[in-house]
Amino acid sequence: MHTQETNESFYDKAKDFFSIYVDPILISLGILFVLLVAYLNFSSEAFLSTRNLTNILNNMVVMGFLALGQSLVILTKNLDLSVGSILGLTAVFLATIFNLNVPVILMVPLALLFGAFLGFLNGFIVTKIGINAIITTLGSMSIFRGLAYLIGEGNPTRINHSGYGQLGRYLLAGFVPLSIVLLVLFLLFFYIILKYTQFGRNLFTVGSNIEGSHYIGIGVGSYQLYSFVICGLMAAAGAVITTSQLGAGLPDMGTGIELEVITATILGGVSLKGGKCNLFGVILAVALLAVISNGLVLLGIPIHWRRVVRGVLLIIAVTIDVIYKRNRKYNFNF
Amino acid sequence: MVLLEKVNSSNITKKIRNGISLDNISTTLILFVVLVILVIIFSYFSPHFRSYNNIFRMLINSSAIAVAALGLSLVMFGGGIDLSIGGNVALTSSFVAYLYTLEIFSINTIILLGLAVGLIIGLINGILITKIGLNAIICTLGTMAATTGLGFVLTEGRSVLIREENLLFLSRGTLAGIAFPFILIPFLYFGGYVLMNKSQIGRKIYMMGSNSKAAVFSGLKIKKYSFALYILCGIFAAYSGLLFTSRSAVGMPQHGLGFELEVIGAVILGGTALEGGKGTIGGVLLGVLIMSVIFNGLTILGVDYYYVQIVRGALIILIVAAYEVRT
Repeated sequence: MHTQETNESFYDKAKDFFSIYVDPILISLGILFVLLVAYLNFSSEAFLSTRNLTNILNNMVVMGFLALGQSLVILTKNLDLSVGSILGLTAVFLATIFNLNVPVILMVPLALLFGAFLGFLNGFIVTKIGINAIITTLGSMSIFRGLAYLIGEGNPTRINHSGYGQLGRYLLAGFVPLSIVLLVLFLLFFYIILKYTQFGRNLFTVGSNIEGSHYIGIGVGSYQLYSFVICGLMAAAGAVITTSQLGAGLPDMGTGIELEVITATILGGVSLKGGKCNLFGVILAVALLAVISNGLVLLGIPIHWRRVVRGVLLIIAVTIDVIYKRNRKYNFNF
Repeated sequence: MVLLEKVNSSNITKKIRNGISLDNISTTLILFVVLVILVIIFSYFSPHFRSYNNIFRMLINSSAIAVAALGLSLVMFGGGIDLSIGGNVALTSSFVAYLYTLEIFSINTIILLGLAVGLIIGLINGILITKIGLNAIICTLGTMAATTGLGFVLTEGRSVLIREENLLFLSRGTLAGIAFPFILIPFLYFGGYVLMNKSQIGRKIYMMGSNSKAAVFSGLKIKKYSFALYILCGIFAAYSGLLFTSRSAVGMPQHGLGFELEVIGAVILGGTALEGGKGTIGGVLLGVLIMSVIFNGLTILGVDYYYVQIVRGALIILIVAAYEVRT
C-alpha cells in the first residue's frame, strides 16, 4: 500500500485533488441549474422577481432540512422512507402542545426532541433488532402517519402565535427568509462535522465499508443509529418551519416528500452504496428541484405533472449515479 | 432399565422440544394456524364477520392484492423488488378510464391495452434495473411516482364511471356458477406453485435470489430471468388495477395510493425474505388472506381507519422481526 502511495504520479494526485474539489455531479448540477434559470427567466417575467425568489427559497428550506438528515442516513448505507411521516406527526405534535399552552420557547426544542425520538425508534429497530431499513421505515411511515391522523383527528389545528410564525416567515432585508439562513447554518454545521470531526469521518468509514469499520473498532450500529436520530431531528426541524409558515399543524403534512428528498439526496451526489456524501451538492439539488417545481407552476403546467417530473428525475439521478460509478477505475464491483 | 428409560424419555423430550421449536415447523403451517386463530377471534367478536356475505365479499376484494402479490413474490424470490405496483394500478385504472372517455375502442380492447400498460411499466423497470443496473428500490420508487403522476395527469384527478359488462365481469361475473375471481386466482396460484416448485425455472429463480454471484458463475442468465419477472409483475399489477376498476366500476388514479404497502406487507408476511431466495407461493397466499382478514375484521369491528393504518405498519415490522428471530 505504502509503495503504491509514494509511487503515485503527479497526474494521479492532481486528478484526485480535482475529483475531491470539482465533483462532476456538482458541475453537471450547476450547469443544469444555470440553464434552467436562464430558460425560466427567458420565458417567464415573474421568475426573477424578488417575490418569486423569496417563494423559491421558502419552499427550499423544508426539503433542505430533510435532505441533510437523509444524506447522513444514506451515507451510512441505510434509507429512511419515514421522514415525511415524521414531519407530519411532529407537526401535529407541535399543534397539540401549542394547544396545551406549552410556552413557545419550549415548543421548538420539544419538537426536535420528539423527532429525534422517532428517528431513534427507526434506528433502534434497524440496528439493534436488525431489520432491513427499508422495511422498517416503510412500516414506521405507515405507523407515524396513522398516529398523526389519530392525534390530529384529521383536522388542521391552528398554531396562532406571531413570534412562532416569524420563524418561518420573517424576511431579512425584505426578501431573504430567516429560515434559509438557518438552513445555511445547518449546512455549514453538518459540513464541518462531516469533514473535521472524528464522528463525521467515522460516518464515512462506516458507509464505505461496514465490515472493515467493525474490525477496526468502530461501533457500526451506533453510528447508523446516530444518523437515524439526526434524520428524525432534521425532519422535526422541517416540521417546525412548515407549521410556522402555515400557522397550523396538519396531519397530512409532508405526504410524499420522502421521494423528493431521496431524489435531491441522490441527485446531489450521495451514493446509495454508502460512503459518499456531498452536502453542497445536496443543497444545490434541493434548489434545482425547488426551481423546477416553481417553473412548472410559472409555465402553467398542470400540477399533476409535478409527480411525473419527480419520478423521472429520481430515475435520471440514479442513472447518473450508476454510470458515474461505472466509469471510475476503482470501486469496481462485480 | 430405569436408566435406559430415562435416556429414552430424555430423547423423547428432546424430540418434542425439537419438534416444538419453531425451526422445525414450516412457515406455511404457522401462517395457517395464525389465519385460523384470527378468523376465530373475529368471528367470536362479530357475527357480521362470519356471515357468508361478508366472507364472500372479503375474498372477492382480496383478489386484487392476491394477483399483485403473486407477481411481486416472483420478483422477490429472485432477489428483486417492485414498489411501482401502486403506481401501476393507478396508471392502468386511469388509462382505462381515459380510453373509455375517448369512446373509440371496445371495452375488450381497452382491457387488453390496460394490461399492455402494465407490460410497458414492467419493461421499463426491467430495462432500468437489469440493463442499466439501477438499485431496484430506488428505480421502482421513481417509476411509482412517475406512473401515479401520469395517472393523475390522464384523468386530471377525476374519477370516471365505467359500467361495462365485460369489465365488471372480472370481479363480479360467474363462470358455471362460480365467481370468476375464485376460478382465476386459484388457477394463477397453482400455476405459480408449479412454476416455483416443479419446474427448473423456479429452482433457477430461487438460486438467483439466494446467491446471484453463484448463479452467474454456474451459467445462469440472471438478467434475462429478472427482466422477465419484472414484466410479469407489471402485467399482474395491471390486472389488479383492472380488478380495482371493475370492483368499483370507477377508473381513477386513487386506487393505487398506498397499495404497494399492502402488497409488500402480504408478501413479506408470507415468509418472503427481502434478500431473495426465500418464500413459498402457499405462504404468500396465506399472507394475502391474513392481511385481508385483519383489514376486514378491524373494519367490521368499527376500528378507525387510522388504527388500521398503524396496525398494518406495525405488523410489517413485527413480522420481519419474527422471521429475523427465527433464523
